[in-house]
Amino acid sequence: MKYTAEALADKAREARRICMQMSYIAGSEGAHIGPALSIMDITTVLYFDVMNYKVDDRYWSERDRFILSKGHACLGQYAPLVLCGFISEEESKTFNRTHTRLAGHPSGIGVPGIEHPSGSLGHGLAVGCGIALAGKMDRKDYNTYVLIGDGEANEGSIWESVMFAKQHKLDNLVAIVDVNNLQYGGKTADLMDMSPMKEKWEAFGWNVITTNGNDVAELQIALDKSNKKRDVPTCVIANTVKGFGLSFIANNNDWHHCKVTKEILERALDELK
Amino acid sequence: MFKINAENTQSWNIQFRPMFGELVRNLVKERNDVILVVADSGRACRCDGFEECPNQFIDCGIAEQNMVGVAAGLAHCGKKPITFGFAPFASERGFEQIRIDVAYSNLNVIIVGSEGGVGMGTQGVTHFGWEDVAVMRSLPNMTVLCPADHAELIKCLEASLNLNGPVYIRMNGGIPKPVYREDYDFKVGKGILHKKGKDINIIATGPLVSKALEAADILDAEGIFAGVVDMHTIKPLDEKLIFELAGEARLMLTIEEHSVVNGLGTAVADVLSTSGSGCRLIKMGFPDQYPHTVSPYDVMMSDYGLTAENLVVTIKEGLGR
Repeated sequence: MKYTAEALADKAREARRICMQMSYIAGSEGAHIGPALSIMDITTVLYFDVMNYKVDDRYWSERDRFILSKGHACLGQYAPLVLCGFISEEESKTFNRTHTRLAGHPSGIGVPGIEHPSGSLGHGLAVGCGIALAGKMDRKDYNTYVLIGDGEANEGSIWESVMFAKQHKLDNLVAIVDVNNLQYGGKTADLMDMSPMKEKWEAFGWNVITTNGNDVAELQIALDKSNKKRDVPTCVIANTVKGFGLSFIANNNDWHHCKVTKEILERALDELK
Repeated sequence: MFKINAENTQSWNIQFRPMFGELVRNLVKERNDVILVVADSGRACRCDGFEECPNQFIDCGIAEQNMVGVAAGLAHCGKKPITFGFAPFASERGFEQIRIDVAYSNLNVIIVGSEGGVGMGTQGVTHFGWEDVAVMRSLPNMTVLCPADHAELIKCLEASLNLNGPVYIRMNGGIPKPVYREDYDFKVGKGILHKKGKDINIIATGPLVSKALEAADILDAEGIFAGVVDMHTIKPLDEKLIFELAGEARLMLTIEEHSVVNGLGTAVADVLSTSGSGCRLIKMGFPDQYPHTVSPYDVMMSDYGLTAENLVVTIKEGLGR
């Protein structure tokens, strides 16, 4: 079922509500709220517009695969997974609590919808390359989407995979770079300037599309499968705002990892009505 | 060609690496799920592509972290990837990828490290597998195998393809002397007891199995009865066999082409310490210190006392004879 841009925006808002509720459940453990809100529109569009999958058959061999390489943004994946029914609402209430499967960085074993574990940065694109390569070998039509952060792109291993995907003509692989210009320690430009991001990926031979990563209508266009180029992997540079969707969190790096009190939750839910 | 019999085993008078390359070349013809994934390291096993099945050879360029990740992705899709490189690069250069993307994810990736120990001789310490077994055996889910000779390399590879979960196959240096000349029963996690000792039991792994057998023969002539075990599986270790042997001789000795820290010797010590037998242990291997001069393989092995002759001396000292 395909959604209109308006309906997708509603879904993304709902996902943000779930994200804040789960962050509140995490209590004193806290949660990576800024990064999750940054990617929420991207993951919403992937799960509700772009990707083919079956909730009741998580290992369906034809499914499109999604790997969240920047695993700390896991609420940005858990929330859509709750919305599409992979994770039950009941289980969502265990986030970051004792004996939970829903850790602060996603586990690859057990949690439906999580293809591969992440949390240590710079791993996901290589695994995505392997999955895409297997798809080519087996003449399958699925696509593999890997979401990485602009800070994460500091990792040298990312660029090993960037070279590999081009060399092996993985046109069934889409890397999405969440460019929110902030990372744990501060501004990306001050820490390790990754600009010009687009030109970097182009120089490595990728088909690059730049979009507003917090606009579901633009994301729908950017992530549309018709944008793919034969024999060339695609990179979608998604310009985002860290903490997008909540006025008091947006672009404020104090919300990279934070605890959510009852008052904060109420304020957030009020804004997300 | 790879049938284990007297004629074939005699003709395999080569280093482990080219043998491994030939084995995989043969294997991909039979199985289309086996993929050799290398990091510009194919030529090290005389294998830079398969003419008949070109898609089953993937070169990642000089990028071991990506090599491991790609193998994990392939394994996710039901393939049986085999990564290959010199021991330190195969095991340690992409170690965190092995930890998370392979071990934690419990995927069927076979990691092959060649020329473990001091196999690279004068090439230097960067190329030595000094502590590769130690790091690999510390990973949950990881099986660690170390073949004694070419026949056992075949057995290890066959067994790995039938296991569920990741495997590290550690090949050692030099041209291994054949231990097995006829087909034999091989089970992962089951050490092979070549002879039972009355005075001492030697637990050996890799090509040191043949040296242990040689030492046992020398000792035998002097009235010292040494047992010999081929402990091809370092993890999961054959605890039952260690317990059994600890009760039968008061001394045990481990010998490996690896640091004495956290390799086979430590694994055996861990088991022995819970046996309540009072059996003493001598660990032979490399010291906890990197060398700063290097020599050809056989000289290095000799310098570190990893010879049949030194085994005899060490055992006599250990027994006070």
